[in-house]
Formats: sequence, C-alpha cells, structure tokens
Amino acid sequence: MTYNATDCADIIGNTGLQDFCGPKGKFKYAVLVRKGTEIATKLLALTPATWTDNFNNDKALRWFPLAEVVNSEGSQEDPVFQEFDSGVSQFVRDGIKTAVMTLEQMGVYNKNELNKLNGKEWDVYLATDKHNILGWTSDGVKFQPYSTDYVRILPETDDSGSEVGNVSVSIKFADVNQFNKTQAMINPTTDALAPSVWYPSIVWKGITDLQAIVTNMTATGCTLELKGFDGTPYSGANGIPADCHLSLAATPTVLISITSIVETATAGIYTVVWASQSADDYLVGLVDQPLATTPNFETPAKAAATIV
Amino acid sequence: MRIVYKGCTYRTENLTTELKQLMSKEIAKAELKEKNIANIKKVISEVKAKKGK
Repeated sequence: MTYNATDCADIIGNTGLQDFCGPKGKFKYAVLVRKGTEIATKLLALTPATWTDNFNNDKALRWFPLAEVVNSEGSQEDPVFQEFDSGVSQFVRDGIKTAVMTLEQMGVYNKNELNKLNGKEWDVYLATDKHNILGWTSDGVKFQPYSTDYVRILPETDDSGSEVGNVSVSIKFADVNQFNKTQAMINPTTDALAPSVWYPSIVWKGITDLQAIVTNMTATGCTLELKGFDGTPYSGANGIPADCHLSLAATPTVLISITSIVETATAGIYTVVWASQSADDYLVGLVDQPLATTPNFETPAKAAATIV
Repeated sequence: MRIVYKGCTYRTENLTTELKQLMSKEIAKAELKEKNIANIKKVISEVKAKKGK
C-alpha cells in the first residue's frame, strides 16, 4: 500500500529512470482544504466518497475544488547561498516554489464566490491531466495536501482582440520537500487498490449555488423555479429535488413535508403540492448541505412566500 | 454515520475497525482536552471574581 513516492529515504539513491507510473502530468485541478487536513490512508484517498463527501460538507468543513486549470505557470526559485569574502558559499535555504494557475472562464457570480476564498488559510491537493492526484506523506500512510504560505485569487485579466479574460490563482508553497522528498501520488484510474475506477476530472466538482423563486402560492401548493445564478435551470440530469419542503418562516428548522413535486413542461419549474396549510408566512425550498440528497448543489435556496 | 478527523469527513463504513477506534479515541481525547481547558478557564474566572470582591 505504498505511494508512488519520490522519497528515497535518507541513504543515497540511484537516479536511473524507473518505469514507475509515468510522468505526473500538468496541473489541471486543485482542491483547497483547511490547514491541518489529512486523509488517513491511501485507500481512503482512492475512495471517491472521501472527496465528494467533503465537497458536499457543511461550509465550516467543506473542501473547495477550483474550476479547471487551463494554464499553470510554475516557478522555482534558485537555492539561496550566502557568499563570503573568502569565496566560500554557504547554503542558506532551498528556493521557494510558486504556481500561478489560470482558471477556465467564469461568470461574475463565480468570480465573487471564488474571491471569498482569497487569502484564507488553505492547503492544496492537485490533480493532473493524467488523472494523478498529488500530495505528500509524512509517514508513508497519510495522504496530505501541500502546505501553502498563501493562496491569492488574482483579478481577472481583460479581454483583448485575441485573448479572453481569466481569473488566476497564485499559490506559494511552503515546503519544497513536499514536492521532492516526500511527494506522494495516487491514480484512481490505474491503482488496483482503488475501490472503483474514477476520474478526478469528473468527481472533483465544486458546489453550485441555486436560487429558488416561488410564485402562485396557495394553501395547498406553489410553483417553484430552481436555477443557478447563471440562469441554468436545475433540471434533467440533476433529477427531481427530493429535499423540497416548506416551513413556517418563524420556525425555519421545523420542516413541513410536501405531497408531491413535479417538473412542468418548462425546465427548472416545478409544481409543488402539500396538505392544506393555514394563512401565515412560509419558506419554500430545499434542504441545505450536507443533508441534501442531491450532491454538488448548495441549497439554502429558500424563498419566502405568504399564504393569505 | 460520519466521522470528522483532522479536517476530513469519512463514512464509517469506509473505515477499518482499527482506524475507527483510533479516530474515536483521538476525538474523545481532544474533546476531553477542550472540556478541561474550559473548566480551568471557569475556575480562573471564578477566582478572579472572588478576588475582585
């Protein structure tokens, strides 16, 4: 159960190239996790639920996969030496490693959401275009994220006649040893230990925010529109929102079950029916993560409506 | 059932018995530590309050 580690122990290692796991590939995805996070074993790191459950977690514990990285410019500072008058150089420290990752195009809403992660205390797991997930291991058992000094979200560049504007993320890594000495790499598409073959490019999806709009509110039902902030209807492949409910506005945590929810001919617009309720102020919407049954959607999507 | 350990949430069915025990033990230890710290803070504030009188 060993990692494809680059650690060569403390003894001198041979440098002949081994037919090991092939090149790691270019950075394509990044997941921001809070400092101190670690995955207990390689098997758990190869289990897709470990990732999806943490993406769909409560916000206080959530991991945040970033949008696809379309370009990553890494830079490795030279080692720092101190020069003495005698001509002797003394090694001071290894050079710092940084990366500026340009993300795929995104809308204003997503830029604002992404900016909320700016400068927070993050560490990072990286995945490559060869489906490898990169981290490091301090003991050969845990799978840990790269420690960072900072993660900064850079402002979007401007569109030009020949280039589109993109948001970039600048990451300064805290310890180059995590890339050289103790790096660990797993591949959920080829590792026999993986419970199933899965692709980070498919599983590593961030949570999409939804908004709810209620119309035609009556004692026995309403029309509920669910859509993303880009206007995309919540429909089709996402399935029927099984967690739909209403609650009294005064007691939002006490959920009142609905009788049925059926999508109309218009995508993302649902007819919701419930047992007759008395006149009052209500909230209609979906259960919030991490309890929502439909993953990858943030669903505090609740709209206020009144039964008169 | 879920267990949150060192920033990562796991489904208990994905954990081995040993890991489950280790995590539960560590979590209980951390909770006890927090409780003890809270108790100590409480005692200190009580003593300070008494001195103030």
